[in-house]
Amino acid sequence: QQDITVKGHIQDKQGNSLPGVSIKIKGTARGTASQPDGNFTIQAAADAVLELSYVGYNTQEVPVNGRTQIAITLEDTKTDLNEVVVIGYGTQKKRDVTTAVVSVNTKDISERPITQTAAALQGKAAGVQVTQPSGKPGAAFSVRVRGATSVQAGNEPLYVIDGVPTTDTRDLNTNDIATITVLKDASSAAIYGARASNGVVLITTKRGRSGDAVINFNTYYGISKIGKKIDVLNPTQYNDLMKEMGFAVTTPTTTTNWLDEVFQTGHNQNYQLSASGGSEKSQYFISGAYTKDDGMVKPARYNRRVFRANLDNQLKPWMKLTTNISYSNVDLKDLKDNDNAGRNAAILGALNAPPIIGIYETDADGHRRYTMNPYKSGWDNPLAAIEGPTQGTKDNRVLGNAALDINFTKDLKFRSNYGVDYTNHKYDYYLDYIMTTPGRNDHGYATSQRYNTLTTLWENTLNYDKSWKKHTISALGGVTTQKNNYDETNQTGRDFPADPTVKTLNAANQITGDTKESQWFLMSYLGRVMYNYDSRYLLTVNFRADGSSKLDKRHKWGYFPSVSAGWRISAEPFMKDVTAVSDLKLRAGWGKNGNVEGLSPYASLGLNSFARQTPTSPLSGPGITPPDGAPNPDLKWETTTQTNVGIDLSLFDSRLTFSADAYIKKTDDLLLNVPLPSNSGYKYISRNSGKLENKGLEFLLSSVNVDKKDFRWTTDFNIAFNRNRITALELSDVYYYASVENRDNIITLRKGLPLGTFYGYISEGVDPKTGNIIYKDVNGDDKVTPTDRTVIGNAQPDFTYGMNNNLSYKNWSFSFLLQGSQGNDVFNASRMETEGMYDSKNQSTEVLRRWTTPGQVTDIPRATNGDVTNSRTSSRFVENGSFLRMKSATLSYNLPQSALSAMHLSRLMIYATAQNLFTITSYKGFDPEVNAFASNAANGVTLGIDYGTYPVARTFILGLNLSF
Amino acid sequence: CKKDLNLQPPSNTIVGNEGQGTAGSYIKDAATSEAALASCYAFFRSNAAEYYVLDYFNISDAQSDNAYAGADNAAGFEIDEFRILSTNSWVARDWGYLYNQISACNSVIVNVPKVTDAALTATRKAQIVAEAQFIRARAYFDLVRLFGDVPLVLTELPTITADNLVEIYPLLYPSRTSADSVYDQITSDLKSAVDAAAVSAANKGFATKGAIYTLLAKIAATRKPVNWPEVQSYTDQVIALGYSLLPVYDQLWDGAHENSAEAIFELNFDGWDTGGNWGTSMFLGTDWKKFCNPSNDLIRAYQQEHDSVRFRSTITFANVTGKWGDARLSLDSFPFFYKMRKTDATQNIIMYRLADVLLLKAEALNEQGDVAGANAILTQIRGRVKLNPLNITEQSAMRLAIEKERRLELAFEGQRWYDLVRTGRAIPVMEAVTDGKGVNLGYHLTEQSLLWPVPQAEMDQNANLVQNPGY
Repeated sequence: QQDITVKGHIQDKQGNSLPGVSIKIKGTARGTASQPDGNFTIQAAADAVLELSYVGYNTQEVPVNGRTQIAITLEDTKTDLNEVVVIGYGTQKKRDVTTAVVSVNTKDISERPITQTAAALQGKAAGVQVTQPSGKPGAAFSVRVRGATSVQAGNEPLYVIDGVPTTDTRDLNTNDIATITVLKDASSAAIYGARASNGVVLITTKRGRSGDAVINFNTYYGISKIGKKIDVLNPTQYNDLMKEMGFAVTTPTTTTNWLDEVFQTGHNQNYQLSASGGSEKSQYFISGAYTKDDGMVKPARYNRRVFRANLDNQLKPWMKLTTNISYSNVDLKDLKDNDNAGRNAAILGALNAPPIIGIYETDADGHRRYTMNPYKSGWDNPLAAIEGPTQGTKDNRVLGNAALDINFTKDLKFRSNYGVDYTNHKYDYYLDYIMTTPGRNDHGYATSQRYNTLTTLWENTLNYDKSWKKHTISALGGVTTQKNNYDETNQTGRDFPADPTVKTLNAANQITGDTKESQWFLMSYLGRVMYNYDSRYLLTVNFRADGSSKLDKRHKWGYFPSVSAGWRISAEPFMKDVTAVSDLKLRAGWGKNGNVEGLSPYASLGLNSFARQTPTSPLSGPGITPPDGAPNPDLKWETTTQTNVGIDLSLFDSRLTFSADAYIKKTDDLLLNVPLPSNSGYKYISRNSGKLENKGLEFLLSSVNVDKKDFRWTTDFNIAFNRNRITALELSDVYYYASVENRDNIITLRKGLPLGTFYGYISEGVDPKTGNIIYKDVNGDDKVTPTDRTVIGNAQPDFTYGMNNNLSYKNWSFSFLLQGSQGNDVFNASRMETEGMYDSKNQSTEVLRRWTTPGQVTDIPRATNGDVTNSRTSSRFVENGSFLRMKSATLSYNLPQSALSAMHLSRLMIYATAQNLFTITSYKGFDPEVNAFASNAANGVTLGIDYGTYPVARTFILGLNLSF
Repeated sequence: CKKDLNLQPPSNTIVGNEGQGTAGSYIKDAATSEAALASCYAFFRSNAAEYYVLDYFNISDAQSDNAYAGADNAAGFEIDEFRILSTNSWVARDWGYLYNQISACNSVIVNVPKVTDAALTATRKAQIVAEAQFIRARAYFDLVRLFGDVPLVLTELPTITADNLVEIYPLLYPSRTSADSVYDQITSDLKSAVDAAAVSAANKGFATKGAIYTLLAKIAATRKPVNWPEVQSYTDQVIALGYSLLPVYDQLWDGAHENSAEAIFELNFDGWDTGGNWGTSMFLGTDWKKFCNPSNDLIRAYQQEHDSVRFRSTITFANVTGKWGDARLSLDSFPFFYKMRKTDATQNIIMYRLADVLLLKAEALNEQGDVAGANAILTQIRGRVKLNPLNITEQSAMRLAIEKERRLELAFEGQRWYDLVRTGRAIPVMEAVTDGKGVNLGYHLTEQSLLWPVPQAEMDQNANLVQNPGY
C-alpha cells in the first residue's frame, strides 16, 4: 500500500498550538514531532493509526482514514485513566495502579523561580511534606514522604533520575524535568528495597522526538526581599537597657540600622536554551541552562550551569541505546547562620548588633576592621560574617547513564543500564588576620576541603509482558550492583603574612591536614509480577534482596517483599449503568522497605583514630586513639513495614477525581546512636534500639470547575494527616538533641512521644514581685531543678495541605498555589537571644515591656546581666507555627498565533510570578517554616527550631518562554 | 562481589576481633602498646584538651577567690556564683573528658600486660602500665574532688551484644563508688606504679617517679583524716629526686625555660599539628573578653604582701576601654592571667612543680607541730621572690601563712579551689570575698556547694546514679 502525505495541526482545548508533540505510526518505529506552530507532516498508509503523545496531555490515537489534512485537539491528562505513570523499572497505566503513587504536575516549573526539584513538589502531593528549612540560595529542602521513618538514618526519599538512584537532586536543572512520580507506600517502593523506606521520587527528563528541531528559550529575572521585619531597640532604648544591666554607657557617635545593612535585595536570574528533535532512528534533547540566585543576605549565592544531552538511538529494530548525560557546575557562597551573634552568625547578628556603632573602625595600629559590640569585644558586627571571609564552594557533577534495550521477542525484553554519579567538591575559606576577630585569633585562618564521590550502578533486568484474552501479565527480574568510592582531603592553615593578597594555604605558616577514604557496596536481586484481569482485578507482587557492605557478615542481607491488590469496581458489569462514575477502584498493599543510607560505611566496626605526637628519635608514629563509637556485631537493617489502603474515584467524565489513602508505617530496628555513660569509654553505640510508628490519612481532590471554550478553571486540593510516635526504646530511654548555646537541649526523644518533641521548663509568667520568670515545680519537691523539665510542645503538624488553582481565559492564564501547615509548634530559640536580656546584645522591641519595678505586671522579665535563668529552654519560647502561605501566583499571557507568525515564532509566553507573596500566621519570628537543625545527622527528630535561621524570601519574577 | 560485600576501612585501623573487640583489643605488640600509651597522653592535648587547657583553670581559679568567670558563658557564671544546675554544660563535659581519658588508660592497663611480643621488654611493659596508672589516678583524683563518689571503672567494657547485655549491665551502668574506695584504689595503683616508673623521661610531660610521688602526696593531703606523716614522706621522696627551684620566678613562665629542673609534671605542647594549646588565647588578649579574669581580691593579696615579683609574673594589665564592660574590674587597667603567654599553640602547662611540693611539705610539718620547719620552707619560697622571711612560730598563724603563700605562689596553676576545699576553708573564705571597693560579693555556699552535681545527662543514661544532695 502506497503511503500518502498527511498534514496536520495539533492544539490544546484553549486553541493554543502544541509544538513538540510526538506523532508515531502505530506498530512501527516511524514518527515525527509537531513544529513550533503545531503543524506536522508525515508519510503514512491511508489506513494507518497515528499515536500522539505529549507530556501532560492524553495519549491519543487518530486513524488517518485516507485524510491528508487532520486537525487534532489534545486533552489534558487530568481526565484520563489511560495516562501512563512511571513506576520503578517500568511504567503502568494509571487505572491499573494498585499502590500509593502520585504523579506531580510539572507544568508550572518553568514559570516559577525554583531551582530545586523538591521545590516543585511543595504543596503538590498529599503526604509529601516539603519544607524549606532555610531561605539561603542553594540550601537543601527537606522532603518527608508520610512522616519521618527514622531518627538519624536519613529521612529524605530516594531519587531516581532516568533510572539512576541518587540522594541529592540539587544540581538537576528543574527545566529539564519531564515527569515526577512519588512512590509513597511500601508496595510501590519495595522494588528499590534497601534504599526505599522514605519513599522514592522518580524523575524523568525531557527527550527528543523525531522531526524538525524545536528550540526553546526560557528566561526570568526577579528580585527577592525579606517578607517580614523584626523591630529592634533604637540607640536610646538600647543604651537604657545597657545602663540597666550595669554597663558604663557612653553617648554614641554613629548609629547603624543593622537589619537594613544585612537584609538587602536579592536577584534571581535564569536562562535556558534547549533544542530537541531527531530522525526516526535517533532523537536528541540538548539543553543548557544558567541559573543565578543572589540571596537577600550577602554573600549567599547560588550559580549553576547545567548541560544535558539525552540521546535515543534505535541501533537495530530490536536494539535501542539510550544515553542521558548531565553535567553541572555549581558555584555556591555560603553564609553563617543558625547560630548566635556571639558566634558571629549573620541573621541573629543583624538583630543583636548594637545600633550605636558604625560598620568599620580603625584599631590602635591603624588597621581597618569591623566594629565590635562596645560592651563585648570579639562580637564582630554581622558584616564581618558577610564580607569577612573569602569563601566559596564549587561542585562539578556528572550524572548519567547508558541503557541498552534488547527485545528478544515482542514480549521478552532485556535491559542493561550502567549509571554514574560523580561529584567533585571544592571548598575554600580564607580569613585575613586584620578585619575580623576570629581571623585575628589565628593570625589569619584558611581551610580547604576537596572530595570526590563516585557511585556506579549496573543493572541487568529482564521484562516479560503478555496479554491474552482479558489477562495481562508483566514480570520483571534483575540483578543490580551499586558501589560508592569516597575520598576527602582537608587542610587548615594558620598564621598568615601581613599582606593578605595571597589567599591560599600556600602562605600559611602552620598547616594541619588529613585525608579520608571510604567505600560501600550494595548488591541486589529484584523481581516483580503484575497481573490484571480485565483491568478489574489487579495484583502486584515485589521482592528484593539487598546485601550491604556496611553490615556485619551475619546481617549483610535484607529481604524486602511486598504485595498489593486492586479492585476496579467501575469495570464490573453491574456498574455499567452508573454513568456518573468514570472510575472507582479500591487498593490495598503491604510491604517492607529498608533504610541503609544513614549507616556509615563501617558502622559495625570499632575504628581507631590517630593522635599525632611530637616526633621522637627514633620515630615511633602517632598515638592510637580508641573508637568513639562502640563496635556492634548485631547491627542490622532499619526496616519499615507499611500497610496501605486507598480508594480512587473519578466522577462525571473525570471532571471530579478523588483519592484517599490510609496507612500505617512501622519502623523496626530503629537505628540510634545510643549515648553511653562516659564511664564506658565510648560516646555512643550505633544500635537498632527502638521502634517508630507513623499512621496517616491522605486526600486528594481534583476538579475541573469550569470548562468552557475560552475559560477553564481547575482546582487541585490535597490534605494529609500524619501521626508518629516512638513505640519502643531499648538500652537508653532518654535522648536529647538540638543544643543551643548557654541553654538546655530543646528536643527529646522518648517512648510514646512523637519526633520533634520540645522539652524544658514550664514558664508561668513573670513574678510581679521579683521580675523573674516563675518556673513550674512539676515534680512538687518545692524547688525548681532540671528534673522539673517536661514536654512543652511538638513540631509535628496536625495536618498539612496545598491547593493549586489554574484559570485560563483565552490567551491569559492565572494560577496560584496555597500551602499550609496546621497545629505545629515552633521553638523560637531566636527569641532567647532577642528577648533574653542577659548580655550586651541588642534586643527586639518586645523588651520595652520588661519588668523594672516591683508590682509591675508584664510578660517580659527583668534584665539579668550574665544570667540566663529567665530565658531557659522553656515554654516561654514555644509558639504556634501554623501557617497558610500564598506559595506562588503566576499570571501569564500567550501571544496569539497571528502575532507569532510575523515573528517566526511558534510560542511566546510572558509571565509574572510572585513567590511567597504572603503568609498568614501568628508566629513572631521571620518565618514559621524553619529548621535550624536541618543539617543535623538526627534531623528526623530535630524539627521546628528557629535559631537565627535565614528566612525564605518573597520573590517577584518576570519571565519569558519562547519556542521556534 | 563477595569481596565487595566485605569492604575494610582504608583510612582507619580497626580494633581486634575483626573490628568488634573491646576498645583496647588492637593492642597486640610493642608498637601498639606504645601507641596506646601515647593516646592516653594525647588526651591532655587533644581529645580532652578543653579540660586541660581551659576548664582546669576555670575550676581552680574562677570558682575560687582568685578570679571571676569572665567571658560570656552562662555555664561559667553558674559555677563562679555557686548556683550550678545539674544540666550545666561545663560540668557535663568535664565528667566526660575525665572518663574518656580513664577509659583509654583502662585499655592500656588491661591489655598491655597480655602482650607477648619480645620487642616489649618486661621493664618497658611495667613502665607503660605505670604511666597509664598515673594518668588514670590523676583523672580520678579530679573526679573525686569535683563530684565526690563516682563510678570506679578499672576494666574495659566488653563488646555490647544482645546476648551479653544483662551480664554487662553493671559494668555499663555502674553505681557510684565511695570516694574513699576510689582513693584506696588509686593510692594502691600509684604505690605499685612508682617502682616501675622511670626517674626521668624525654621531657617532663611523662609520668615519672617524681610525678607519682607528687600525686600520692596530694591525695594523702586531701583524704580525711589527713595522714600528715605520709604526706611528708611522699614530699620527701619527691624532693630526694633532685628537683630544684629555678633561680628566677619568672623563668617558669617566660617560655625559655620549659621542662625546667623545678617542673615535675608539665604538659608539653608543640604546635597545632600535635594538638596545640589554645588556652592562652582563652585567658590573655584584648580581642574579646577572656575567661578567668583575676579578681580584685587576688590583686589586693599581692599588693598587701608587696609581692611584686610574683604579681608581675602572674597578672598583666591592659586598657580595654570600649572593648567590653565589666561590673567589678576597671577597664583602663583590666587584669589578665599571665602564666600562659605563648599564642602559637606551644605553651606548656606546668601541672606539678617543686614549689608546690615544698609548700605541701611545709603544711605537713606544721600540722605535725614543726612550725619552724615549715617556716624554713616558706623562707626558701619567699626568698626567691625577694620577700622577707615571716618567722611565724604559732601553728594556726602558720596554717594561714601557708594558705596565703600557696595562693600567691600557685595562682592560676589549678590549685586554689582544691586547696580551699581540702583545708575546710572554702566556705568562710568565699563568703568573705569583697569587690574592689570592699563590698562583699555575696557568695553563698553550703557544704553541698563543695561538690558539683552529677551531670543530668549521665543520670538520664544511668538509672543507678544518685544525685548529690542539694541539686
